[in-house]
Amino acid sequence: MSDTLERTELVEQQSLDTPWVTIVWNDPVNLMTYVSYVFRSYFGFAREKADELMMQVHENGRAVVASGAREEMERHVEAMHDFGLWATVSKDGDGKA
Amino acid sequence: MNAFSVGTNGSVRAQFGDFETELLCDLAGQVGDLLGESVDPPDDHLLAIVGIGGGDSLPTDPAVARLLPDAYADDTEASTEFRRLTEHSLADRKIANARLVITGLLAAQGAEFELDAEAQQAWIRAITDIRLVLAARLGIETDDDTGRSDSEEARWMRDVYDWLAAVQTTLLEAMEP
Repeated sequence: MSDTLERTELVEQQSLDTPWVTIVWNDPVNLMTYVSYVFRSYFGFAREKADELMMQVHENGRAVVASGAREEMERHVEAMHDFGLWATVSKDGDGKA
Repeated sequence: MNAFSVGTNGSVRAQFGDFETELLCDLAGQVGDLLGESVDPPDDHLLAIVGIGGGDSLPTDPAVARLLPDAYADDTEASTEFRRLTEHSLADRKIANARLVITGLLAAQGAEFELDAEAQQAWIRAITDIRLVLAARLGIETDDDTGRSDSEEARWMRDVYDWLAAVQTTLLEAMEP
């Protein structure tokens, strides 16, 4: 039991030290309306925020749509792949985000 | 174009003619086959049951690679590990979406039918997957790309690709009227 607790704390500590991010990349296929819909329906963003992120993806080629623990970001990325969006996990602040 | 509409009770309705039904079933079937063939059957039956057992690297077919992309942009090792754990179940979910589309269309036989929340999600994803495969086959890689148009087949695929964009738009509008 104590072992599990220690490990949980360790994971939390790591995620605090090095936050991870979910990046959605631009692709020429998915409709802007669809990308915005995915951001609203999956992340629960308001339309304004979803449209803003969608425009970031469209114009800058990518946008950070979430940050936090690595495992959580991996779940987000898998969900984006379910929707057919192109998404990757990155360590925050490594120049790629 | 019929495609999707909102029923009087607020439900999402779908209707496709014979030709469109046949076309959609064919395309959804092809996407399902493509995924089924590309995900290596896991050696371990237990791993297969829990959905573990994907490949080690990005699929060589660009269409499949787009459906099952790498999860890390610059970390091959992490991408491989993630793929091993998730690729099989991701492919299975996409195949299930394609099958649900086919089953619904065949059951309706051209008549109007209702899409519940689960079916709406399957349809919106399946249409996306079909468009991703068509785009890969057409070589559409950038926003300004119109893809190759060097053959009758390519021009036909481009028409279908655009038609599916319109179909998806009607679905989105019906889901969020």
